Amino acid sequence: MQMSASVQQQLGNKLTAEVGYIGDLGRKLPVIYNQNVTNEFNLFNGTAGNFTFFPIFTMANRGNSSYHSGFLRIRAQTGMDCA
Amino acid sequence: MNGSYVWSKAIDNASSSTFRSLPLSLSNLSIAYQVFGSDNPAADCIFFAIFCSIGGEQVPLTIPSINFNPSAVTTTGAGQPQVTPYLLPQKAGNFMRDDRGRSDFNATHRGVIDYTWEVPSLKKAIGAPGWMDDWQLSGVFTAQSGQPFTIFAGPIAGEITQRVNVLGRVNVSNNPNGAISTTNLQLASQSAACSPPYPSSPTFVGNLFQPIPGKACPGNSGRNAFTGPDYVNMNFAVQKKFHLWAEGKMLIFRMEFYNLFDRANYYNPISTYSTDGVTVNPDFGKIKSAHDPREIQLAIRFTW
Repeated sequence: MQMSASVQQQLGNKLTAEVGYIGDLGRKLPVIYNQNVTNEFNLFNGTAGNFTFFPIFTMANRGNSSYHSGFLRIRAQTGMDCA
Repeated sequence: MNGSYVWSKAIDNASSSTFRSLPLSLSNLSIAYQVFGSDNPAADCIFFAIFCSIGGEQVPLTIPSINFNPSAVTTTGAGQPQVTPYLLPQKAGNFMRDDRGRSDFNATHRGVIDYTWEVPSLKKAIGAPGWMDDWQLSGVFTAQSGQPFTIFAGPIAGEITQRVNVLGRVNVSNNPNGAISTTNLQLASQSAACSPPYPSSPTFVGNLFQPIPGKACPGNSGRNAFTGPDYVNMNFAVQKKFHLWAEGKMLIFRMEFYNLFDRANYYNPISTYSTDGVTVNPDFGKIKSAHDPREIQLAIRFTW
């Protein structure tokens, strides 16, 4: 989900200022983890073979991300030709 | 002229969406990878616990003895030096919290100024010949804080994402020969929690590859907890127009400078503190790559 908002204000004839926010939220992103970590630990009991349990790399949708930013932009104009 | 400043903060939890392809042996994958590595289920409980908490879930464990072939646990340390993003979370059962940190692309501060300046007419100002007019200067100045990185200290027993222990403030500089201060760094294998308790035990071979059974040695530093060199760059261009014999025909000579001041904008340093979990990597902290140096480009354009 993306969010953005900004306010722009002209300051005199040659100056413009803008303040804003941009955000992005990510949910249920793909991540990889070892699903079999619990069973691997059972190797400690000595009864299971060393190669009985393997890591099971599993892709799950438990990842998440967030991005927040604030910005300030100033635009100045001088003369007849400007950027 | 435009000037902008951006503050940002990007956070996510670790791992990308591709599977690992490191040259780990079968024994490491099947035994050592998690038994002595991080996120061992007994990490948060005592050795002889009956119940242990894994990500908030009570899981019964039985640990009467250790009985396996020690030779199967040794690691070759053949894994490639790891840089973020790494493919697997450090704690498989707690990666939602443990590996949550700054995103790899995060740059907290970034400022950009760009401008274009048409040089005022010299003919009007000082009466210079007309062909001396029509100059234009332009440029882009960028300053940005460094990007995050993780300091790895593994692998121990095949645990590739093991992070370093931090004992205090860790300074990062722009020195390409030693960008990361090692004063307050410690291999996870050297911490008390990971020292072998019974060096002569017949069921436990005491060496640094085999820390206390049931003790995870993931290091206490966070993912992307460190910040690399900053980035400052100035691009500049100057051009001159010549009006030709006919209306609308023009010849433009343009010279562009990228990284005008030839500043060394380094990429992140090598952050693998150890490639085998025991010895310090001699390349640790060295910077062996950088953004482009100064480049000059000439152009001639004819418009009609």
